[in-house]
Amino acid sequence: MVDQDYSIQELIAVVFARDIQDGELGILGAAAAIPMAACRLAQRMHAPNMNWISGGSGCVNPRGKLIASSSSYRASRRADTYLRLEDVSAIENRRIDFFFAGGIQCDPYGNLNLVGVGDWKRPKFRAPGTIGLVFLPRAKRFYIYTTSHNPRLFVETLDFRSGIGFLSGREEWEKANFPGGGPSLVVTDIATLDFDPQTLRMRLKTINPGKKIEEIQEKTGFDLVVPDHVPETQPPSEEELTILREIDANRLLR
Amino acid sequence: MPSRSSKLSSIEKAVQSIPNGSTIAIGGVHMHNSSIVAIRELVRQKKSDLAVIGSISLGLQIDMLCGVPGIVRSITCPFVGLEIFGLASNYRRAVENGQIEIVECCELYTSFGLRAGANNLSFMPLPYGYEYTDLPKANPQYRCIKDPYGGPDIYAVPPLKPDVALIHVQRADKYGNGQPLGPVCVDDVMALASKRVILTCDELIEEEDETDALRMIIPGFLVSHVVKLPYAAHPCSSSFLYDYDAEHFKEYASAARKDFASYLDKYVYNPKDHFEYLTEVGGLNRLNTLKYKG
Repeated sequence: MVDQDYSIQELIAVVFARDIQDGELGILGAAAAIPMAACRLAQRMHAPNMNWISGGSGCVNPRGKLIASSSSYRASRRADTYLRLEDVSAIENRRIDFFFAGGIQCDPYGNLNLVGVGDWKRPKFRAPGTIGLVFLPRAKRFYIYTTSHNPRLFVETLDFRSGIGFLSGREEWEKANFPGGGPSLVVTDIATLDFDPQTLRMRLKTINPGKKIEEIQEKTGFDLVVPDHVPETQPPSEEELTILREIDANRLLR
Repeated sequence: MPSRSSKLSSIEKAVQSIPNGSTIAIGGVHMHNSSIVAIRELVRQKKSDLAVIGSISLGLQIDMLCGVPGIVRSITCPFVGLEIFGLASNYRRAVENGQIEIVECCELYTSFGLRAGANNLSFMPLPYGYEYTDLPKANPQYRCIKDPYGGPDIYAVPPLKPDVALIHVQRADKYGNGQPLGPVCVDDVMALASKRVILTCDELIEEEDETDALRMIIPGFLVSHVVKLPYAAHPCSSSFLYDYDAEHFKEYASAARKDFASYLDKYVYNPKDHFEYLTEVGGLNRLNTLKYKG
């Protein structure tokens, strides 16, 4: 019997893994233990022909023990192939099905800020920088994740737009005519969210066991679209946890 | 037969060749394959007014230079953070205090910019849609151009042509031909874009060794100095030789938050050379734990 007491990181990885389809091509960035685990779990559960690129190292389908630094050469040791950075960019520009993203601010339309808080010239808080977020509207869909759902992260208005979500909503998004499909899922420590198909604003999809809708709204700095019925997030199954912990032998997700 | 000149140098001499005010490029990515021995030497020699271009994602490489006011004039790097060890605090403070000019940019600004520099092109076009981000507002070097083939207007990035690139490889010969044993990120393009390269390596390829020219990614004719030092990338990793030093990174992250002067004394100013530095970080006992063992 596997220990059913799962961590938030494990739950987030499982939620993403269930959304990944067989035959797709995905990419993730640095410090990405959760997305790496999600891709590996999906491959083992139902998507054996899905491929994923470990962004910082350019390695495709690393199969060794889950590592903390996805940009490490260690990713190459048991991987299919390796892509030079310029070639990773080429693929990001036209072939990606799902892209894992994060930010220090996220607005109701899934636009992301990785630059800073306050005035750009003299920020109150300087964040690391935009890096590959410019590719977001070119992927078929992108995922947003955080282990700390709070109102400083989910804000009505960004201080800087690094990554493009649904812009200011349906009208502008359609006019911009990007090749990609925009943000699809936001998975946090307390809930899973998607986007209302009419307004393209963030919508509550499932709430994690033990959480209340009020708490999720309180921890979000803008009004969420809340459907009449919001089910609980389905906890990891015994099979999912067993496989996940084989992949995560170093227990990075605990 | 005339003899071919060796480019072997000490790290001190190699770094002395960099004038204040230079534009330097730093290779590697995140905590991997950067010449940290050269970064420490820049600090020891109290360089000033450097414009720093970082590959695509760096951390300690730039943060350490930001820890001493005056060394860095400007930073062009799409991501500066300590990856799994959190924020780059010296960098963060310097930007928040307005001490350093930030050339706000994305990953393609440096990778395509270096490619334009390497190929001597006047610019590189970007994928459509940058006007929907705040990047062109923060950095006017993103310029809007007409697509000569009739597509929508797009933005372009200028060429980057650093005065010198600091690049680390696992193996090199004394003529500067360098062989990375792992991912190269943009180091190869950076070498081509730069006026010259200072190359550090952990191991020297001897004249009598068999070479594999297909894996010698850095051509020696781009290189002015080759510096051979064991653990030259420490605390970063060096592919298939040693891992990043997690304990040292934690110590660094904490020092950068609150007491960086002590860190600099202990690891940069007081050791008289790289070997004393290696003793200070824990000597053979520590270094052996980092060795790649498969």
